[in-house]
Amino acid sequence: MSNEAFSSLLQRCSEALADRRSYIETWKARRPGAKVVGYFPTYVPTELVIAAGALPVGMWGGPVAVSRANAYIQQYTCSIVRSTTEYALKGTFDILDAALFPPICDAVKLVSSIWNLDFSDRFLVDMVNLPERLDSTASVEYLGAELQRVGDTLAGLCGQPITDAALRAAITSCNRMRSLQEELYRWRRTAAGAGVSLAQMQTVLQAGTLFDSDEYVALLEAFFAASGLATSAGKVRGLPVVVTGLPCQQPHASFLDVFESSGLRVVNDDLFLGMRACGQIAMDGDPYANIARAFTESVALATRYHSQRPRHEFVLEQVRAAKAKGVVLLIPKFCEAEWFDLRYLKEQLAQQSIPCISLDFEEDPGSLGAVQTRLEAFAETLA
Amino acid sequence: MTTKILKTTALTQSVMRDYYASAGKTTCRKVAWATAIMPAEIATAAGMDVIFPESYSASCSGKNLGAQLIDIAEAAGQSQETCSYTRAELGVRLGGPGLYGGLPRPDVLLCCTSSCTTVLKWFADVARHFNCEMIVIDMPFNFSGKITEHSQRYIVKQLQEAIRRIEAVTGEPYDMEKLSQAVALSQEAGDYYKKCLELGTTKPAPMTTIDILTNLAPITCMRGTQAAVDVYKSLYEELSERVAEGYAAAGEERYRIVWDNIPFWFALGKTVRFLSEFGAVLVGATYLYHWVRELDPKAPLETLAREFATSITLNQSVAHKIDKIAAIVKSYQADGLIIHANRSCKADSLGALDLQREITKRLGIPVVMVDGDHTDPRAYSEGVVQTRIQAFLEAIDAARESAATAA
Repeated sequence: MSNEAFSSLLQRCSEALADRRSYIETWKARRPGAKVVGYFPTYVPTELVIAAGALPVGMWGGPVAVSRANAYIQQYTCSIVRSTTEYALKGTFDILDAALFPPICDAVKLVSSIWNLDFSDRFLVDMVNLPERLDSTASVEYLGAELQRVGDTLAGLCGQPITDAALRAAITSCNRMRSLQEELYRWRRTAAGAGVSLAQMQTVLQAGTLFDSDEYVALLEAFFAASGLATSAGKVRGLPVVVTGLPCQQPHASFLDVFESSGLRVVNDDLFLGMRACGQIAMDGDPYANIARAFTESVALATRYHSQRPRHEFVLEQVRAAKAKGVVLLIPKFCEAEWFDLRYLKEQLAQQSIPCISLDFEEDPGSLGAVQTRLEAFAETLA
Repeated sequence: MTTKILKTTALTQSVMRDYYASAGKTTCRKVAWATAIMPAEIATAAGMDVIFPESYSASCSGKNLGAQLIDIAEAAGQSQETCSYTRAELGVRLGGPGLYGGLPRPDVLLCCTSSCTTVLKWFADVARHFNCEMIVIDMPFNFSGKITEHSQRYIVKQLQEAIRRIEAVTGEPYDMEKLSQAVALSQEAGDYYKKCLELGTTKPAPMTTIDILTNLAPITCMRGTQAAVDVYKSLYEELSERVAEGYAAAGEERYRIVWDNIPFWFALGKTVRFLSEFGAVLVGATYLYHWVRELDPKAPLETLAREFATSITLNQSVAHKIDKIAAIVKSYQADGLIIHANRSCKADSLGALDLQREITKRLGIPVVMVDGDHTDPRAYSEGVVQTRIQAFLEAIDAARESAATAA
């Protein structure tokens, strides 16, 4: 795409993601003694980590050949739990001082426990034990107490207490980050941003799970200042679709590139949605309670239950807001929660006469011929 | 040798027939569907008929209906990647040939995450299907191996909230005294059940694992009733007699074997018969211990919260699970452990590789892992399972020989 400001942002993000270790080492070199805390998707309140003076870093796996992890985890599990475990065994994560897991599904609950048993000599392993239901006031109170517990653990690790002032400052930074990401989505729906591919969005959003939050905010602000927003009108190509199923395991960029090469334009998606979904956390009052409330008020993903906020309503809203013509359900292989939602989402979309297609994927993209054929066929039905 | 069938089995069968025949038939009684590890005593105390679809799917699987029911569910779009209990139940819901003529329509669903996250997805689908209310009791995973204070408080609050919602469903004020009575009956049945398991560890085994599994349904489905107490009191008395007589349920016990994970119900009998060809006896199963609890009628909500959150290894850290299973296997003086790597149940299967290593290390006995699925026969290969079991028995022989040589 032609927007220079975006190209520069993208380059900065790609470079950092290509060599995460260098980024982390540089960050640490500037802050002697500061800790680095890895976290597993879909969501961990990184505000707590930042307030403890540490760098939160997302552990997203990748297309690594899995061999040693097979001695710990059965092969009928999703690729992200196998690849991250392989990375842990290869020592890739030894730069981390701690690894935090949310209890997002049965596989991750158990895998985090396996890490705690087998890898806790490498780094501290803990769980931010989020509630699985979001629709009870008891969930907010419980989570507030759980966040206090995690905060105490992080304070112990980092050797400094988490003050309310530090936590509020971290919330301010992360709120700004999330609002800039939302702005990025809005910009992408304008003619100026329409040329940004799904894979490019993935890169910019994923960088937000590596960069220091203030640095990331500055990068996005610089981009918006330089791009002049809607000035450079790009040509809008492709049939608008919504993609859902991506808050956790990430497809390879080459897999996502097939969308555009098949004549589709992704106008809304749930890439890294867990990290974006809590929106703007309130600043007044108890910061722990505020983070807890924001979490329970966020959208229901496949692995979070809310009686009044079913997932299909969120997907339908994404379709309406971006005037999409269809939906692509991307399902991580072996992800039981997403496979459960397949029949349900298909039925709900059919009731609204919204065309949809489902594709499964692993982190290793493999051969993309069949994906291309199916997406092209889907594009033809939408045209 | 001929194995005597437990007299209690006839009682259990009659109790369970009545249970399914009467559920949902009395117009003034509401029907609740509950997940297997739900503190359903709160609904039993409110005079509801409580049905447990997992137990029901297991029964259907045991009668070899799984494949047929699963085909119906998958033809309707349900993915093969979802738990096969849920697919079998969906098959029945969509008109397939379930046992006892299918399940009564629920007025309310009681879903507890202590067993897994899967049940949240499953029951949400059931709720959409019947357009009925769903009460969720979220029991956080005990990552540290023990329940935290805030987790305990959270569960009690949800139980209190659930009771208010049950009142709305029944239209009757909730009687906490009846809850205490239901909890007392549940514990009485549980105490007898626990004593049966303890007697079951006697050498020679007074009953086999098939015997106790055949009598498992009342403790899973009918806790809080006198009928469940009667079943386990009878079973306890019968087993006490057998132990006093020195009765060996399986004759010669060349190998005493314990099973881990939910069985593949459709092929368990066949596997036990295969084992018996070599003089191997399935004397126990870790699965049976999910129903051992310590409830207190004087503190019903607090103890229901604590016990349901911690009694099942699926909601516990892998380290805790290994300790518990090692103790169980040891109590049976077992010569080996078979771990079922259950394709349908990640919650019960992940961590199995650590378990295998640790049991071998701590108890010095061979452990074999066999692939399968609790309800879907397509994920099971009889030839592969039998070959692995045969090699496993040979490993026990080899271990004995090397121990004898060393001595």
